This record gives sequence, C-alpha cells and structure tokens, in this order.
Amino acid sequence: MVGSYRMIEGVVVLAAMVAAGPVVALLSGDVYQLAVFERALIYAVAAASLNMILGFGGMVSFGHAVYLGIGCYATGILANADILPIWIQLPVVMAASALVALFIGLIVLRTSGVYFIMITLALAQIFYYLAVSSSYFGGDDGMVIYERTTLLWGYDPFDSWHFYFFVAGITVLCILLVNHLVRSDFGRRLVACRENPTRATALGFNVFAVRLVGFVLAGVICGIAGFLLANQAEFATPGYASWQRSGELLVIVILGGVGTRFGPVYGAFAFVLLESVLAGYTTHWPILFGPFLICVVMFFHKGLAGLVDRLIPGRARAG
Amino acid sequence: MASLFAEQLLNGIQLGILLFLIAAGLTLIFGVMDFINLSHGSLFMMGAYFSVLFQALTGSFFLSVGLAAIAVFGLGMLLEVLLVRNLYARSHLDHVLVTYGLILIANESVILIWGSVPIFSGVPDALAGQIPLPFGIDYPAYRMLVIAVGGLVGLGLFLLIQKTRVGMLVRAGATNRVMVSILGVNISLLYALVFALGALLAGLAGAMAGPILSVQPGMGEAVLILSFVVVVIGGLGSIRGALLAAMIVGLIDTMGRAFLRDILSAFFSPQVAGEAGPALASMLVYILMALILFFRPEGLLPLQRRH
Repeated sequence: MVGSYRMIEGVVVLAAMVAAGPVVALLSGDVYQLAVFERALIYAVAAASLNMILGFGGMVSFGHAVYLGIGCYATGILANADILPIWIQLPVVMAASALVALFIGLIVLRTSGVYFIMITLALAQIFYYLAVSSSYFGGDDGMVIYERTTLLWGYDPFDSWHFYFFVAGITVLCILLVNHLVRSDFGRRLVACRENPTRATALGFNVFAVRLVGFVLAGVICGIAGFLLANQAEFATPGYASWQRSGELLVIVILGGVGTRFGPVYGAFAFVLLESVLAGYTTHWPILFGPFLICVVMFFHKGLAGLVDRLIPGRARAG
Repeated sequence: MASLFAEQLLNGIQLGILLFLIAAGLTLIFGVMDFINLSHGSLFMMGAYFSVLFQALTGSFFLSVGLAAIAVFGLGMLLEVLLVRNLYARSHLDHVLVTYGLILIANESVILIWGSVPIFSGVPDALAGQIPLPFGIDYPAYRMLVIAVGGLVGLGLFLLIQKTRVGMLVRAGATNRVMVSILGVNISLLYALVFALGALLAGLAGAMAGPILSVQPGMGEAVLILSFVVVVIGGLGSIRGALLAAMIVGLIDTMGRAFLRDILSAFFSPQVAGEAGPALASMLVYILMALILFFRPEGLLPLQRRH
C-alpha cells in the first residue's frame, strides 16, 4: 500500500511541478511568470542533490552552492567560446563538478560533525574568492552569457516556452535520478554509513568510499543545476557560489523535509514562490521570511513533506 | 620596508584581537552549550550600530562603546531566553537554520531603521592622531587602543574562566554538562549568562570596529565566517585555541594582503602576480584552514571532552 502511495505521490509531484509554470503563465497571461518557476525547478535539483548527502548520508555540507557556481561558470566559459551544443556543455559541466567534488570530498570526509560543516564552507569560500578575484571571469561583476545552450533543430533557446520545457525536462530527469539513487543499494549503503559507520565497516562496506561516491554524485547533480541556472539567468556571478547561497540550499532542504523523497521539491517551490510573493509586497521580505523559517524549524520536524504525510491518512507512520 | 612590515604586523595583531573577541564568544557558546550560533556576526553588527546610535545620543565615543556592549548583552540574554534555550536539545542543523533566520531578521531590521547605505562612524578626535613607536614607526592611536582594550578584555576573560567560580562552572559544563546539572547548578541561568557574555564580546568588538570598518548591513557575515575559521582551527570550545588561531588568522590575512603580490612578482611576471596575488591573499586563510584540518582534524588546541 505504502509503495503505491509513494508512486502516486511521485507522479503527482512531478506532474504538478512541470505544470505549475505554464498554468500560472497562461492564467495570468504573463509569460515571464515562467522564469519564476524555472528558478524553482533549478533549486529543486540543487536541493535534491544536497538532500541526497544530507538527508540520506548525514553529511551537512555548508558549501554545496560551490557546484552551482562551477556549473554556471563552466557553462558560461563554453558559451562565450561559442561551444553551444548540450552534448558538449553538459559532460564538461559534469566532469568539472565531479573533479571539484572529488577534491573537496577527499579533504572534508576525513572530518565529521561541526568540523565537516565548517570545512565544506571554507573550501567553498576558496572557489568563491577564486571567482571574485579573477578578472578573466569578470571578477566581482560576474560574466554575461550571450548564448543559451542549443539542443536540437527546431529548439529555440530564447523562446520562453521552449526553454521552460528544456529546464523542466532536465529537472525531472535529475529528480528521478536522485530518487533512484537513494532507493538503490547504494542509497541503502549511504544510510547504513550514516546510522552506524562501525557496523557498516564490519559488514564490509568501505565507508569512506561510499560517502565519497555520494558526495561526488551530489556535486555532479548540483553542477547540472548550475548549468541550468547559467542558461536561465544568462549570467554567472560569484554570488551563486557564496555561502549565503549554500545556506539557502540548506534552508530549502530543511523547509521541505530532510531525508524525505520529495521534500527538496516542496522546499524549492515554497522558497522561490514565497520569495517572489513576499518580495512583491515589500522589498524587505527577509524580515518576514526569517520568522517563517524559525517557525518551520521549531514546529515542523519533517518540514513540508511531513505536513503532506500528515494530510494523507495512514501515511504519518510510514517510512 | 621594515616600518611597513612592522605596521602590517600591528594591523594583523589588531585584526587578530577583534577576531578573538568574536571567536571567544562563539567557541564558549559551542563549548558549553554545544550550540552553533550563526547569528553571532549579527550581534557584532548590532554592536556597531548601537555604538553609532549611542554616539549620536550621548556625544561620547567611549560611553557609546560601553553602552553598546551592554545593550548587546541584553539582546543576547533576550535571545537566549526567548529562542535559543529551546534549541539546545535539537540537532546542529536546526541551530544553523534558526540562527540563519535570525541573520535575515537582523540585516533587514538594520536596513529598515538605518538604511542600507554604509555609515562612517568617525574616530574620536582625541585618538585621530598617530602614536610614535620605537624604530621610527608611527601607528594610528585608535588601532593601538583597540589592541590594548582587546588585550585587556581577553585577559579579563581568561581570569574569569580560570579563577572564578562562574568560570569553574563554565569549564565544568564544557567538559561534562550532565555532571554539572546533577550537582545542582542552575544550568539555565548559567547558559543564559554564557550566551549573553558571548554576545557582549561580539557587541564590544563591533562597537570598536565601527571606526575601522564601515558600519553596514551584513557586515557581520564576513567577520562571522572568519571567526568560524578561527574557532575551527583553534579547536572547538577552546578559548586558548581561539586566541592562538585568531592571531594566526589575523596575521596571515593581513600579511598576505600586504605582501603576497610582491613576493609573487619575484617569481612570476607582474601581470600574473597582480592577478594571482590578491586572489591568493583572500584564499590564504581558507587554504590554511583546510591544511590544518587535514593534518589535525580536531584543530590546534582541542578541548578534552568527556561525555
């Protein structure tokens, strides 16, 4: 029973996620609304990848936005060198994020707890300052990306609808991939290493290797989110890799529900929509968002996904 | 060259002392209560803004610094009682998020009240000059005062923790919290006091940093990240570690910004040095942190903790 509920939830969530943008855009007659939902989709991918290592692997990375930055800059550099096909851009982005994640992972996975939180932050800062101080990448001002990624004949990257479905398609694939990963043997191993590293070692798992693979996979998927962000914003700025952005990703994951399967999607949509709605009322929206965030942490243990579970009868106790 | 070097050395010490004041509070709160306070930087910022406010009200710089520190002490107390004490039993992740929320609130409140434009809080006239030091160095009097006050406060904190009864309880709490509460100590009052003391130190640092940095929303975050680096390098919960690490970070950061470019230009072309120098200088601290944690994952002077 539970399994089928999960299936239904998955299909409903993914369909709602993709349909939300077009529905709002058509109802309001304002095609630029699509951009808001594109942002939500991109954040959902980034948050899903963070949730994979945080929620299932117990690794609280406070520097996850660095892969957004890497993906963004890699895309930007290629685009500005007139290398536009996705078949080249995406593999390069994935390889670049994988390399950086491997480098960071090899260092941070020696530590745990608060040290892990802080050292992921510190290493992300190194890349942030690299981007800020390098005049080749536009330094503090960032880098304008003039051309969006090309896909197939007939696909116009600057047509709002084409581009929306491009983002939505990749997002759905990434979310499905993450879902598959956490449910696979590998996902189970990741959880085992979180729950009891000693026992996992005794069972013959190489805990370090399992965590490293998880860390690198998460980095690669977040790099893809960076690739989408670069195309969406047509801009790459060091801000995408800043620690505040990493904080936002953590907020999205917690808001949605740590270690739940669709939490990051709920979290990303709630975050982006709240931001855009609140920002419509007042430029001082963080003063409303701050208390909201505190309330969510204080009163909802499993975030929005926990709330959804409570609304569906018989689901509250299910795994 | 020698005098420039000496001046930068003093600047490094001065930055180190400011970082120590902030990091001491962070590490104390973490060591005793196991609480991660991201909003500690906001308390630093509030110290700076309160100082500007009180300076306008009282006209006296010194009075305003003292009042600002006391005000932030009160703010810390309020925060602990209303919010933070409900979170001790929660995970570190929850601490990070709630205090992240507090940062948002603090920054926006400051923008609402004072605007988002940086405020320049002037150095008091009496301290505007330079002090002649040995070896023909002239050093700004105000920065000298910051070093002196910071040093004294640090010493006071050390005596408080090592020599008084409250300090004994704090040390005991950091080592074995359960035992302390079993011994019948009013742990919630102790925690509130420690939290407020940490806030006071951050507020004092902010009030004193006002004339050196520009007072603006978000000024706490840059300092917060650096202080976390200090705390982690020093060893979480360790005040002595924080002192050592603050000095190292202060000196490395200042020296790197001042001299790295020249050092690099000895080996590379001026263009490469001009480009890589500043980049490497801002990364130096983080590279140092990564290196130290790679070899000593517990930091330089870790606390001996028993559960």
